[in-house]
Amino acid sequence: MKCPRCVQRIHRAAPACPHCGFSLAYADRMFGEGEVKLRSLTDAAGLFRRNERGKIEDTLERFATKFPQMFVAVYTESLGETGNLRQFGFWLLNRGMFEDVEVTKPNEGGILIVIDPDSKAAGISFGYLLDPFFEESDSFECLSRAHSHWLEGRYCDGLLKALKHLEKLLRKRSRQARRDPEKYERQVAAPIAVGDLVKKIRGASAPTVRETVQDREGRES
Amino acid sequence: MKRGIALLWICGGIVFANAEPPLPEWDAEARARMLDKSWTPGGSLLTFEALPGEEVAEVIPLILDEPSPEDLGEPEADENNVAEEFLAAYFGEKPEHQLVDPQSLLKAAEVRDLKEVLDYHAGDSSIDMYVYVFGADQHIPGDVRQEELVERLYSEGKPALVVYYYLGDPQRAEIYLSPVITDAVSAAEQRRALKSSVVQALADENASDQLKAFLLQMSIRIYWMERMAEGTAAATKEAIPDESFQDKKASEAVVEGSPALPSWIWFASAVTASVFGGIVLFWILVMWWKSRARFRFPEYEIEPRLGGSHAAGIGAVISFSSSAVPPAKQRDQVPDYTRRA
Repeated sequence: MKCPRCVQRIHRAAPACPHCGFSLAYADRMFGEGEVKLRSLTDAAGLFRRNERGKIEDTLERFATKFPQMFVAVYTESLGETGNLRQFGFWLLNRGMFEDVEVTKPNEGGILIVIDPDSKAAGISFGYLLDPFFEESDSFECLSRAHSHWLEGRYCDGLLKALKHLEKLLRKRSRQARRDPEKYERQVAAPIAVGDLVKKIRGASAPTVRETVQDREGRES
Repeated sequence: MKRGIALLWICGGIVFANAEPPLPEWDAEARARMLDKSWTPGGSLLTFEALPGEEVAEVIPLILDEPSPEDLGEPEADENNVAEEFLAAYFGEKPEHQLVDPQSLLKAAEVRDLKEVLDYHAGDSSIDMYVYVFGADQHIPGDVRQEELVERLYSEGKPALVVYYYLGDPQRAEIYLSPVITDAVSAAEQRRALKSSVVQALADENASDQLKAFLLQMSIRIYWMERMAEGTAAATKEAIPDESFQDKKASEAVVEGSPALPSWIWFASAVTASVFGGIVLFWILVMWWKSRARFRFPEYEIEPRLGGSHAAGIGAVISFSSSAVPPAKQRDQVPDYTRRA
């Protein structure tokens, strides 16, 4: 877990980044406080042709069908000099209301891909549902698939490649999670308090009442 | 005054015009001769005899040239026709070898070379190729009908394609097929075969090389004719007494209703088809199952961080501004402000 502003590691449940003080309130001041209505494919930068939009929407729909808890949204815009993809992605996924996404799918299950054609950069943000299953390196792999296409300005092709890899990766993670759910549960479990830890250690080494009684009876006989 | 004169003149003219001329009267003698049909009125006008008092013109007889063979529709004796002494060798009977050159227009080495080509073709194909070689300026006499010759000599035995080739002038070449395969190979296909062979021949300059190129291309085209003829060959194989042709086709041709293939081939084919069908079915089932598969994730209680109620998952950011900075160099994620500075 990293801070979207300074990209430093932060601990679970941190209300603000301990390194730079970033929080949603800071992002609200940058991008606005109100909720934003948008569709899962919002091509504000006009990168896609009509038929390409159709293709992308089909892919997004197929993804939403395969992963009933999740959805993918794509947002393109020239964010300008103040733009910061990580901060913007974090803010939009918290403030966005995706009109064409089922109400049963909250933004916790969302994956947002933001493309900025001016700064020629793209980033991925994701909701809490994927926190234990989706890592930064996974998102890096997905975007890497699109890199060569985006270099040539073929945004649609690149995006479809990235989405294809994302789907493949999430299928794999889903199977792993079904096979070994405890592994992922441990990642998100609340940190053990120091007092609890001492009790646990003592509990493991101290003899139980039953063992003590048995020992005493043994000595007397 | 002048008007009065003009009026009188017009009236006089009208009166004169209305006056009928007197009718001729019959001469009694002439009438009697007319009635017994010994005299025809006006008959004297239709005779060549001179009228009384008329000068008799001297009759000059019209002398015309004798009609030429062309006028009579008879074939002109052409000095370019193939000499009569070779006609029997060409068209008398079915030649022993596929290369027919009784005039020895080809050199011995060329003949040997071409025979090798034709022999190889004969061993490889179920349709023989017979080549009749003529000189570039020669003509086949008009009384020799090529189609009739092919029907007469090549109706029986192994099917054949007969080429009349004019050495040095490939464009005059003609081809004819045995009646057995004429129906199976369309006229259009024959034209295409001839055309492509001529094109190949014209790529060479030497006359014998042209002929060789022509034959090689025709041999290729014959392969396709065989494929076309396969459909009809089975049906007509009884009409083909040549055993070699039948043997070659027997393994390929299947007469409808009678299994020509050995039973083990049928069995092997059935097993192969079943296995292949099973694999395809399995693959379809797998694809169907995959398409219906749904992927879910366990949902855990996760405390919000950074004030975000829905999300705080920060993934990678990748720059595609330059091919000099590939993804491999961007693996270490740094704050955007450090990269954009």
